[in-house]
Amino acid sequence: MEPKKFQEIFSRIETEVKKVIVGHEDAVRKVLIAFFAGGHTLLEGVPGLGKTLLVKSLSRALALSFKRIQFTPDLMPSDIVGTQVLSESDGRRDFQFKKGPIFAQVVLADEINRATPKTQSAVLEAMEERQATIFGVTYPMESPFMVLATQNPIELEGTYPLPEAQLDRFFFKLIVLPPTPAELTEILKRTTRAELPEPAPVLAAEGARSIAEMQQLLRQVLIAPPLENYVVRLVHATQPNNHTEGGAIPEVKEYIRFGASPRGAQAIVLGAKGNALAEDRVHVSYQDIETVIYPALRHRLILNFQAEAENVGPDQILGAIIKKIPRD
Amino acid sequence: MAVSVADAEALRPEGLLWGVRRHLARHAAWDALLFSFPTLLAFCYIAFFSYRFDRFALSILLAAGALFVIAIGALGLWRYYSTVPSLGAVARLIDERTQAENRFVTLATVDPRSSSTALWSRLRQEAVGFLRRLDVDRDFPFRLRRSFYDSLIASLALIVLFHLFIELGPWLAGRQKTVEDSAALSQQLNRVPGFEELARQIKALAAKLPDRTMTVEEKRMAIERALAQVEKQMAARPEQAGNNQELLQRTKDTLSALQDSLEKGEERGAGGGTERSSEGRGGKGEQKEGEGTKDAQQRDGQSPSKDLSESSPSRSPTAGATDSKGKGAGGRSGAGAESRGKEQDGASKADQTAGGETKLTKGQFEQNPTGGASERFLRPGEQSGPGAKDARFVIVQLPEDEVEGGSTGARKKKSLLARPPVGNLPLRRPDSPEASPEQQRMPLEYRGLIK
Repeated sequence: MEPKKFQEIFSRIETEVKKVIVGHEDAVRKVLIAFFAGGHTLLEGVPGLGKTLLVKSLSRALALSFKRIQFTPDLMPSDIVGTQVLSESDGRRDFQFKKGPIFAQVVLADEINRATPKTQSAVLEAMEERQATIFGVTYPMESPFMVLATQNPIELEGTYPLPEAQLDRFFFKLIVLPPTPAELTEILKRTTRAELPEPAPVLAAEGARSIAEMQQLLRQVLIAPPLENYVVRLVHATQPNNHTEGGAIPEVKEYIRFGASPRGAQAIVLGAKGNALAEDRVHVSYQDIETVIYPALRHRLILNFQAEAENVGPDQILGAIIKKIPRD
Repeated sequence: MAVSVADAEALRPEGLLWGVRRHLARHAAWDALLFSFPTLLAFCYIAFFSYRFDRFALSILLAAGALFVIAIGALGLWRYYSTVPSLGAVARLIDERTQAENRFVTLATVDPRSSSTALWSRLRQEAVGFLRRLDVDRDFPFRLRRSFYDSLIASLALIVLFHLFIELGPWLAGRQKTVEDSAALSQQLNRVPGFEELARQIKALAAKLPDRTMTVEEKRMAIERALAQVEKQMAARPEQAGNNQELLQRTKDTLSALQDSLEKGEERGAGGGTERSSEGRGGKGEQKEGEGTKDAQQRDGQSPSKDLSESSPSRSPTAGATDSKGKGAGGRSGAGAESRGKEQDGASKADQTAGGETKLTKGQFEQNPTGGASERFLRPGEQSGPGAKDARFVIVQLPEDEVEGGSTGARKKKSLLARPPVGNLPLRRPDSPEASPEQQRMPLEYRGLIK
């Protein structure tokens, strides 16, 4: 596929999603980048900001199968991956595997932090291995496969925060912010009239094959070794026990318990490549890296108690790292 | 190079990268050259100056020059290679100038064989579009770097320090330096046709000067002979201007300086030699006969030869200590003691008279300060002749002189101690009628230390 076509399809999808979603341009773009990079996205925001609508619109624009799982404390793993049920045909009774909602191309795991860790871990294998093993039988996921999880930063009582291992499996973590007054006005206009906007499927004709091509093209985007080195230095700078020259920067030493994993560096590079293609470029620039570093690393930094006490977030620390790590 | 090269290399952005790198490499070469040039010039100046004025031997200069050239070459190369940018750095600079968003960095650093051909060709096409924005001469002008100014300042400082060293060197090195100068002068003179004899004399003189077995008189004679030879040469070749005349003048100056140093007794090494020679000869004098000596001879009715030997310590140009010791040695040898007694008499008379001047004093203490006390002892408006102010040395009575000598000699010495020469007059006790009007408060225990 040509880079120009990629950019064209990407823009059309964005346009279709924007028909339904007001604002959140950055979130929409990042979700798309994560999708074409083959990653999963965690959306964090208070209820009612359009997270679920965003995911639904995206799946419709991509013309992919979509399933939604509402995570609750009593949700069981079998409710997600499926189970064997007794069925009768021709007088014979057999156990047949009934696929759970995870077997879709786009899965919305709504309020993922409300389910128990056991149930959450059922999603892990599907996210990472793109397969599910039920009663010793492995079932591959459809391709493309993407999990979009949402979580609520408030009402933490009775929730089960995602373990670090599971957080690391998300390509991006996006913060969905409340709409501005202008956006809210537009939301009211669109949602309170008789005709509700619907996104048109963009990739209905091309199908999954073209998505695979786009995903392949994204990985071919050129990135110069000095830029790769910059990514390495950025990720390495998140380690509080950094023993290289100069050591860790003060903010990292003070507030971070554990730094980003190599998956973080992979996410930055792939995200930067996706951002470059979305901007109709075939090479990565420093700007691309600095654009995607926040969603790629913010959920991979494990902050200590002092950071929580002083209300210091990962974005502030990442900002300090970008400021202090030279590009060259 | 600006537009034409960009046009020529428009189809090949990689070519432009190399072109800009060559351009910047030329800048780096100039920078290295400018960095090294002031240092090189400073060295040449110092080498020329040293050679022209024979500060160093030619072989030393050549060896130092070779070492310096190697060092400055290595420094220049280091400077060049440290400032020549890599291809990646050049690409980054072009990206900055053309706002190409890392296109040139990607082109310069990514291996095209491991990249998608389609994407690579697309990137090159994009880069070509950005080439039009670049004007190499405008965007990469040559500027003098700070290193050049630093090097210039350091070189000038080096030259100034060298001259300071040249000026202060003889003062710091003292007599040894003078001897070195004499040796260098003899070498230089030896190279000039017709000056061989003079060179030989100077060389001999340079060898004699540090020799402690030589008397001051012999050294002085050698200097005078050399001076006479110089003046003869100067008179014989007045028409010769330039180097030879200058060389002779320098030789004359050096010899005069040597003579002065002998006379003033500033050189301690020479003084020690004089002292030893004086003692070794039983207090015999080293000086030529003077007017004052003649006066003394006439007064005492002694033979000129005897008096010459007796009066010699007082005429010694060396320090007072030497003089005193010479006298002490003379005292032990009999004739010297008699002479010394006369000197002391003269000193006493000089002290007793108002003007402080007698024939004996004038003859024997030609260089001794006579007359009134120092100006600082005078009342406001009071005038005085040459006194302690103009003293060039003072005579210090050492404590051992008091215990030396027989009964008659001891009395004389005690009288001398009681009345030291005016020039050596210390502050009187406050209750003394001869006490200075100036009152200086001083702890009493220190009074006893001053003689």
